[in-house]
Amino acid sequence: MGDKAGEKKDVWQGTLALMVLKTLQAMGPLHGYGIARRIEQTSGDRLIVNYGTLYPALLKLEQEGYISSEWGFSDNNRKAKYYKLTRAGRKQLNKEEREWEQTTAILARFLAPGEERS
Amino acid sequence: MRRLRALFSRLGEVFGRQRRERELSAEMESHLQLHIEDNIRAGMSPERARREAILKLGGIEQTKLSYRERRGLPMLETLLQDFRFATRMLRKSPGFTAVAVVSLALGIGATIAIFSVIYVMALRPLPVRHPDRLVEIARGDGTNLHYYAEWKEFQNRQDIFSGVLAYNYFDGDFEITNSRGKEEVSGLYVSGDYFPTLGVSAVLGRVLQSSDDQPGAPPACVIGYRLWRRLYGQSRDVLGRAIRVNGNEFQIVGVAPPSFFGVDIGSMPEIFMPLETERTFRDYHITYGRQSPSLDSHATILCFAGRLKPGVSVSQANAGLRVLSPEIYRALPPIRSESSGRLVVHGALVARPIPNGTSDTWLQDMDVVLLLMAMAAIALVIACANLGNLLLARAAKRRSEIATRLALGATRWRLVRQLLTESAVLSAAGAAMGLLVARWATQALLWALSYPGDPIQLDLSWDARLAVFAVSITLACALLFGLAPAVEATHISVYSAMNNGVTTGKRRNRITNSGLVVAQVALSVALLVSAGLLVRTLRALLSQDPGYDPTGVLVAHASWQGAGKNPQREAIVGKEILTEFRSLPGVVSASWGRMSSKMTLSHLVVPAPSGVERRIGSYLIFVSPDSFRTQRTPILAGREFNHWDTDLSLPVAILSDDLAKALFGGVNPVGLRFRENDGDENGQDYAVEVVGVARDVQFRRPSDAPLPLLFRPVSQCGGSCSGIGDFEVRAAGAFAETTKRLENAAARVDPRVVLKCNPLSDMVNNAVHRNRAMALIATTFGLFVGLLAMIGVYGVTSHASAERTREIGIRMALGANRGDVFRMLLGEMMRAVCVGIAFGLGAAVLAAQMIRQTIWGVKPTDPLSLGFAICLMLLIAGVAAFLPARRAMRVDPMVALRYE
Repeated sequence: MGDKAGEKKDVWQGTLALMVLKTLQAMGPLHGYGIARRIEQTSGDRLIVNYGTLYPALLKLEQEGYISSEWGFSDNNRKAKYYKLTRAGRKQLNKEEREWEQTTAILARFLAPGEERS
Repeated sequence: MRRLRALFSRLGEVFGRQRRERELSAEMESHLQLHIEDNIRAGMSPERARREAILKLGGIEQTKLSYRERRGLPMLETLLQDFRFATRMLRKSPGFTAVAVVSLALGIGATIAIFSVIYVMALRPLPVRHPDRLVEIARGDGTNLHYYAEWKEFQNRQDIFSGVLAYNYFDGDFEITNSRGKEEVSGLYVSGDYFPTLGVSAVLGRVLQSSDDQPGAPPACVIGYRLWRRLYGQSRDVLGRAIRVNGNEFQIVGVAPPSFFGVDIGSMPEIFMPLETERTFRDYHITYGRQSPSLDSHATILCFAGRLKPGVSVSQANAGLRVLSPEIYRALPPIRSESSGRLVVHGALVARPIPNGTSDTWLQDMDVVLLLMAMAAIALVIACANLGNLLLARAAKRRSEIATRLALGATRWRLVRQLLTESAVLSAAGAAMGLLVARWATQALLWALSYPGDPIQLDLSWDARLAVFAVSITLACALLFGLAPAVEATHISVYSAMNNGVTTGKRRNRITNSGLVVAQVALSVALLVSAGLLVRTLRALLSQDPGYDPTGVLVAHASWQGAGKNPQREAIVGKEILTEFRSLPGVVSASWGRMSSKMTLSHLVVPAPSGVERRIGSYLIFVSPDSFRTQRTPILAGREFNHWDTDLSLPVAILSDDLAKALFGGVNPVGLRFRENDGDENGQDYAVEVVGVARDVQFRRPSDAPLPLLFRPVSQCGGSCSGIGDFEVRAAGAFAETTKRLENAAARVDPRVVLKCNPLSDMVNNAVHRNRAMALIATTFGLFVGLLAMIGVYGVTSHASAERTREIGIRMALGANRGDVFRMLLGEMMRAVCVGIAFGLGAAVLAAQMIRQTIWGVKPTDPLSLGFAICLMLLIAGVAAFLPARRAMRVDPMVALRYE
């Protein structure tokens, strides 16, 4: 995949689920479009969420029992499917956050000396 | 865990897909609208907002597709989809489906039925502890038959086995009586260590033990599980209750496990009694064919079995038996041979493993059953080949459908899978029907293998192994007839198939197809010829004069009811019953016969005309006057017994023709004397005068050699008879009516006498039962395979004519007329059929060789059987080829060629 600087990036495989869970924790129940927008905004519009990936990912999380969904109405009274975090999802989020922090900490150590040298 | 949860969730989503599909569309739609609204808020025109949103969302269909793949289980869904499609396709061509399902059902059903009989008879491990350590212990001549004294010596002297057991080979019918009434069940006398040695424990109470099998022990018995359920409703308080067996009281001490049936395959004893009680309560049940001799004689009525000690091999056990056997026989009194009168020299006992039980029936009929199995398997393969061919013909028609689907992007594998699903559906439907066929066919097979009145009883309950067999055979069928057509059908050039729709038949196909026709025609002919030979054998047997006229004659076996046994009065009671019978209205003549209790062949010592002594064995039967007249057996020389032959007059005898010739050569023996010796070492010889010679009679199969029979007057039997005996009555009127009158007459003489009446003609029918059954099975099989051949010829011809439509069109355009085309197609088919018939005749010769022991009175090359098989085959093939050939003949050359 072409990876030129300044170009918007697709969400990395595997991190989308974490972002979805974190978003739902931060925002409460939200529809698919809202989740996508929120992720894009949080990244400072540097990420774009591919909807072809988002909806299967939501389905997977739902099948695994981390989120649940129900139909509701948006601010301007439009019918939409709202996703919210379940208890299992909350636990999973904590776990994944910890793991992510560890991973980034480790990676940071690897990368730090290299940065100094250059 | 999460994965599992997701899997179940996906499994659930396989169903209700329409609702989910609507929901996804709604979600996409709402997403789009939310985005548009956002864009409008950001200041875009509605037009532009919509455009941007749609662009951003990307391909809705792609999103839906990846969503769908995540939802549910795509593999399973395609399978369900294929399944639905397959059932729809099959429903659309009911004729094809019916032919396919029925031929598969017959093929699979027959295969499963025969296999299950083979499995149950020879392959299933006995339901006892470590059946692989179980051996039967046979005599040196290979028969596992011993007499009681031999058992006692063997049991006491052996230390080769960890346990040995004996049981009465003559398991018979016992009349049991309890508060609910009476019932006939089969039962077994067993030694005290029978159950412990087999390692079978009771499901309720205890099994028999050595202390039950002692003289003077209170009569105890173990009942079978089925009897417990049937008679006592599985009540637990059955223990300690009394049950009357043939009028003698036994105490029930336990219930055997449901799967237990002893060691002999083919019988299902439901009551087990100690061997010792047989001595006390023995009850003769003598008919012409079966009897249960006593423990005290030298009659060989016991079977031995043993359990190998841990670590001891069969050959080590046999080595031990070779040392032990002479000791055993030295301890026993010497025995003379029944036929030659010489002293019997016993070989060493031999142990043989019986992990699957022992089976007389199996040994006798192994060739027949295996032959049937082979035929069923071949028939099934042929049925599959035919179906494959029909599917190929259909695939040719579906070529453009398949080409379209390939063009639209379906993968080959996907199409093969779909076509295979169709085959699997067919195969499964065939197997489901086949199970019904199997159930029926198993009963028919057991009926055929059984001796009348002595049915083979098998525990035919299914186990995992049989189920695996049935499933694998079904899948194998689906692959066998489905794979080739499926692969063939999808290997088409999309371009040419969509353009032409018709291609020319490949030469390779034609050759394999005619090979298929040749093979099944050959098999059908071989089977039809065999069937013809067996039917002709049956007719020959039935038209044979058995030496008596059974029509209108009734045989009444008289015995004491239960405890009413009174051996002292038997001779008197018999005589009185005969007198009663003779005075009954409608009775033309009546006679009375008794058998020697020794049931050994008596030994005649003859001063032959040359003066040389000869010992010849014969069967001794005591009969009253009028015996031959009642049976209408001709007296060839001399006279029948009359009222002057009494216990005080000169001992006289009538010989069967066969015996007379063996004893006296060609000389008329009337007036000559011989000495009779009853076979015991210290028995007395006495002189007997021959007063007549009777024509040989045949009570067994008419094809067997006649038995050497020695008739003596019943008045001269002295003490050597036991049981009241049998009466033969020739009477006018219906069988049931006569039976009633005879029963009343017997009851007038002594109310404790029970009669069992059968028409004498039953004996003739029973004797040919096996032949009749074989003829029936072979005919059924022959017609089934003939039917398969019909389907095969039809399939091949219609396939060929469908593929050659263009060729036929060209031929006709070039001037061939309809008749030419018709003759060409029919002629090509009939050539293959004739080659098949030629091979079939060759195979028939081989088949006749295999069943030569069953064929009688007809030559293996019987022209009638051969002619019938050939004509039937030509007729079948002609009809099957006629329809497609006629359809091809009607091809309009213009249509056929313009189609391109």
